[in-house]
Amino acid sequence: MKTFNLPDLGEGLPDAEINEWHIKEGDIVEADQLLVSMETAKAVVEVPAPRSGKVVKFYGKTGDIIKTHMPLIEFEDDDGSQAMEAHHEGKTAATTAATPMAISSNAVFLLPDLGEGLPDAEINEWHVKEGDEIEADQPLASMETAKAVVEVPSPHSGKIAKLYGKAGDVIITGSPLVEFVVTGGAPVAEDAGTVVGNIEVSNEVLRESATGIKPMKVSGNKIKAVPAARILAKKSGIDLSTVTGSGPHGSISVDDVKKHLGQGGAAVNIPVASPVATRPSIPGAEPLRGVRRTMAIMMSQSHREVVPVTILDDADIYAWPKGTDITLRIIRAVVFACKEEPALNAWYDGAANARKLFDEVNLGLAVDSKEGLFVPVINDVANLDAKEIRATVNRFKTQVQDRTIPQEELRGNTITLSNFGVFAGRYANPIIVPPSVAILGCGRLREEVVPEKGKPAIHRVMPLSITFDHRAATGGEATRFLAAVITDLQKEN
Amino acid sequence: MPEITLVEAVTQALAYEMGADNNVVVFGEDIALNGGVFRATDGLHAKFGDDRVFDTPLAENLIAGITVGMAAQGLKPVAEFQFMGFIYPGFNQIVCHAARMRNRTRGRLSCPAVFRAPYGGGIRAPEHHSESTEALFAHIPGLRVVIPSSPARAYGLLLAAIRDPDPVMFLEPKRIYRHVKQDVPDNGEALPLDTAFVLREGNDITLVTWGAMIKETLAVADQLTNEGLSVEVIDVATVKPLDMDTILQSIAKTGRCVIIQEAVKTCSVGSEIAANIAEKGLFDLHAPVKRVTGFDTTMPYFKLEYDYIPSEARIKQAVMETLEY
Repeated sequence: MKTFNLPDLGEGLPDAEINEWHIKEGDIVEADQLLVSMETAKAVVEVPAPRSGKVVKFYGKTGDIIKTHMPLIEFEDDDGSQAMEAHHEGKTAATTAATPMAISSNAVFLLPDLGEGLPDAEINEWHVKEGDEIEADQPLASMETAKAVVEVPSPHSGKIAKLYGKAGDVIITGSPLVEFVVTGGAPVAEDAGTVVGNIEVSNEVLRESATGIKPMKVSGNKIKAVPAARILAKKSGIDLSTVTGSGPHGSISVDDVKKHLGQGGAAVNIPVASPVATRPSIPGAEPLRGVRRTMAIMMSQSHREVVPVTILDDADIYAWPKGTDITLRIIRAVVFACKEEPALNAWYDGAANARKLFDEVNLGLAVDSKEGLFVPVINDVANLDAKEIRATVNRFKTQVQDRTIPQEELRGNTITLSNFGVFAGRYANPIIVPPSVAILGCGRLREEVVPEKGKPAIHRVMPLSITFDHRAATGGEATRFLAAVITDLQKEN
Repeated sequence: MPEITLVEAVTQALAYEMGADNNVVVFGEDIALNGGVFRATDGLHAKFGDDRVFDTPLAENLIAGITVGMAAQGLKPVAEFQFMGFIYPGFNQIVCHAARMRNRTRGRLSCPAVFRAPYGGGIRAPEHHSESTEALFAHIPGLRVVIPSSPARAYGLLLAAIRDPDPVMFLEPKRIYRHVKQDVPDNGEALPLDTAFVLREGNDITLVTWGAMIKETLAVADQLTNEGLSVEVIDVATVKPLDMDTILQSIAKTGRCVIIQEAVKTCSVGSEIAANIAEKGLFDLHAPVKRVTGFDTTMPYFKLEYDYIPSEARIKQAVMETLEY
């Protein structure tokens, strides 16, 4: 028997209804003779016979709905069929003996239309055999159509259960070509819609907010210059930050660069920061990557932009009871000082000369690691209790060491704390990373001889170093801030 | 909460808004009984019935025409064009009537319509099913052109499009209809129709794209991040009106920009973005703006379509050239 399956009568139509049979079972039909009119969602379509022969069975009566690629009629198996010879130049049509139920759309790969409306194709050569494990897109067979020899790729990976035909056989478009073994929970493609073509389907889950992320506003790179001025500066080896711009918003024109050159400002040889590392001039030097590279860029930016002033002092922590959590006390002191003197809990945009003060304290904590410097941020630290802060600090330490800290927790600090004294060092000049305007450093605790009621006494003191950006804050504000830090640190509890 | 695909997010948004607003009606070719060729309207007919979800004849001029009429008289029609390549018979209705309704009637009538169409290539379909002609519509005053690139944005932007009092072209990148899934709460929350979305934050270069090209662009951005670079990726999302503020702010920071689009190069949305950058961001540029686009030719048949659609390799090369400039 040769089964004729209902072809797709439109563009991805799932089924069609039998409107009227033009023949009856037992009739002998000619190729292209109209068999049946079928009603689709779009129109009534006449379905012609794919070949000549005797029709022995209808798979439905008027009003029945036939699914696309399911059997419509069956021809008598006429043993090589003379009619087919006329149609297919002597080549035998392959048996498409799939019973309707055997055609599970996931297991059986039907011959697609290899051109535009080609009725069939002849198997030229199989590239695979039954039992083979194959990959998606691996060529299954080369098929000869009326137009050309076409390689037919596999629609998915899997093991081949059956090949429907041998070299020289003709397969009708839409009839089974290859059957795959469906293993237990084999990945069964979801319904991708009745569609023209193929849509990529995956179960990958996107973890991303609908609105994306809000990038931090950075004061910018920065230096405004017309492109021609940049090129000239680059060619002349001039660092544009040393050129005074005379254009709108302080932008640098070609004339500005030329004037600078005339002043003998040429060839200072500071390469303009290019994100792609220029070839290192030190033989064998490895370009920095990742966090360490970011640190280098940020520090250079800070050095170019910020006007830093560092103030040093000590806090007398003699009154502290034994076992006081040093880090928590320092954090508490910073929060207290931010309330007393808000000017240092701020961001500054140097390009616009604009300053923003914050109500909440988002405290950046400088954490050292082999990879480089990390500054995770405790958001709104003023509203966390001591336990929560300790837990966060501990978590940051672990996450920094095993590189699992989420990107979101590494930005948005309004003020920064560097507790470098764990290792060594009394005072420092900590570096501010724009847009924030202050960083407090705590050095190594030490015993110090201090006057107590007119006599020398030995107290434990904590050395403090605060750097502030003098563009954004005054010396008065900074010293009041530091005084508040000390006041809070010197309390017993 | 089950994670859903972009096309399911479209269905979810339609169902939500039809439940919330009886004036919303949905129609198009094969969208009711069949649920749409891509299943975007699956289940809506069963839920809301013949009056609100119905199949139209194969006549795009008619689809666009009745949309304009319904919208002008108080309904909120959401019309589907089966493929963007079939939209041109309705072009006259959209351009000459929908887009101008408010202006022509001096504000007495508006046209709160949504014209939905799957667009773009990459699904092995014939060429007139695969083109990206968003620029044709972005060029027309009075039309918004919206292109989502994730399930969550498809949901939020489609709700906003239906609620907007003026006509919106809602173009769905069919190549990524089912490419990823995402948790999309069915809470009726719309997204703004004039805002670009920053998907990756970085300092070295800005990649600007929209629609299905988000896929390759993010892949390249992630590769480069692994190589130590810091890449910002912006999903334009609303091709009209363009949120140039977000793009210019990013370029003020990075100084470098590559625009990636599937559409042909000439007179495209990418051209418009590049022109805006030249007008308003010139002093911030450290390198010329590059465009990675489809070619100025008819979309090829599927054997060649991935030679046409910008590949990760083409994007990466453009990014490296821009960085090394």
